[in-house]
Amino acid sequence: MEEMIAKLAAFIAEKILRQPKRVIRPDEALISSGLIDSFSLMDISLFVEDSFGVRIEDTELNAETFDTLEQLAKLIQGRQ
Amino acid sequence: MDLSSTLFLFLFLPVFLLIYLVSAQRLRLPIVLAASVIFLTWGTKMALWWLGGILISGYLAGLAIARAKEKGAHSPIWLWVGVGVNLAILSFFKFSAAYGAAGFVWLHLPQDWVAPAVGLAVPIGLSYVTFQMISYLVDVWKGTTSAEKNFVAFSTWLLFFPKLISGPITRYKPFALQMEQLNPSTEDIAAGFRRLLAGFVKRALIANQLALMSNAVFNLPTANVEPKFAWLALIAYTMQIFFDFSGYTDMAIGLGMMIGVRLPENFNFPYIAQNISDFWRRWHITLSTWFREYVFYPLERRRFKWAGQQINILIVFLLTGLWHGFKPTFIVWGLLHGFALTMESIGFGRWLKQTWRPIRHIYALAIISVGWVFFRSNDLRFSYWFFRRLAGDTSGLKLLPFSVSTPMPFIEPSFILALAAGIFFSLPVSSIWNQIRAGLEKRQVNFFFLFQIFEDIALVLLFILGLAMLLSNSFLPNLYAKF
Repeated sequence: MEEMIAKLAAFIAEKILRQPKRVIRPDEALISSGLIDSFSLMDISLFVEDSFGVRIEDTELNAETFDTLEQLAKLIQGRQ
Repeated sequence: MDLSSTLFLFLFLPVFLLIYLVSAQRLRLPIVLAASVIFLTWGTKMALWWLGGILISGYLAGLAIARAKEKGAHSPIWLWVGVGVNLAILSFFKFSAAYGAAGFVWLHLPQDWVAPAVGLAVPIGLSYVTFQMISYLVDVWKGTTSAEKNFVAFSTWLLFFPKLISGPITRYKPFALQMEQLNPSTEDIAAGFRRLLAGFVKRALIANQLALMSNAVFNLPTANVEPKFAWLALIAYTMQIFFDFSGYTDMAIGLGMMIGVRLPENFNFPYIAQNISDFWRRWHITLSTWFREYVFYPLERRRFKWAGQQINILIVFLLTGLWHGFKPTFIVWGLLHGFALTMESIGFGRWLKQTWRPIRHIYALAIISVGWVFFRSNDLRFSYWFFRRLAGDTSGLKLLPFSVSTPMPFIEPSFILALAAGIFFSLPVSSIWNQIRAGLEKRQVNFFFLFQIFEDIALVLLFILGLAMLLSNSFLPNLYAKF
């Protein structure tokens, strides 16, 4: 789980936020806080699909399904 | 029937609620459906035929999709048929409304075919009904919802009268789960009633008063208006469209609560947005969510390598403009928002995030206001001249008779009051009020009881005032009903 969170955090910091040194806490709100907008959610979804073999449906790309790295990692684990 | 009409408020609603609440729970679903059909057909009988056609074809297409999936079909033929029917009907009416018979000449169809169809009024709620149906069919194909076999439940979802005319756009699954237990508590009914009254007050006391000025300017054949009135009309329209549409949504959500159904929220203080992306998370939320989930994300999965995301954003906002009407003004409005969003999706967005917060608000409000000029203008020529007036150009201005320009050149105190109230309540003051309210409810139960009584009395008094103004003006546009 920790490894998965680290991988997701690195992808988001580097590719989405373009701030490779940015530390994202596992419980930090990503979507509801506006840190990540809907333009980037599909990039995250495709990264999850490629890296972990888990598909997140288009209608699930919102803060209700996952809002933190912890919740996203749990979602991925639950579907693996 | 409009939710703010006296017919609805003093006849339809009380009779419906009385029958609904005294009925056994198993009868409530058919009662809501019967009420929705009466609501739909009251005054516009043609709407029942068109929406009924969409309803039956969507119901059958849903079952056909489910059956095809069971048989292991990989090609979504029934999905395309179902979606195609909806888009064809929607496009026909939007096109007909914008261009009339002349718009169909290029099709070279026999005159006998075109004549009876052209000039038909757009069935109420068509844009909302078709989009909800498309979401249902896609969800059934994806397997995120099951095809509904119960025709009464299916029809109740699609034709549910509180959301029929102007949304909020509601997906099938969350609605279906609530239909299984239509049993509103006393608290739900009371809260729903308060929300209904608040929505009415927003529309009657703010939107309706502001409409007098914005209509006087924007309904002129040319932008023959002094710069100060152009600015006033723009600010008035900016507030009017928000309070009219969000007030209507409040009424719909309140009615839903009384019935025992939670409809999704549609607004979250859009004018405090810090960029256009933020605006679309706060304005007509259910429409932007629909476009995001059913158009933008599927396009993003097939994104072009070069500027793919920017092209997808422009496609989505071109379609958002067309959803409002097949007119150049709506297309320009949509593309303006799309263009701002493409800029925000690249370096400009990152730069903007680091600027001083007031600059971000000014940027967002500027784009939104410019957009409303196109949105409200009858044609692009009017928009062009209106912008010139905003910039202070007084060339070619003619003195109009008062019967044409009224209420200009006077500015009524009621207009100033409505404008001030509009600006004040477009800020998140009600959120702060609700926090204080919740705190009182928790810590000062006795005091809260008194507070609630005073709050309710104030709301009822405002409702009576709104009703009096409504009856004296006999005018209450529902801006989003025409979409």
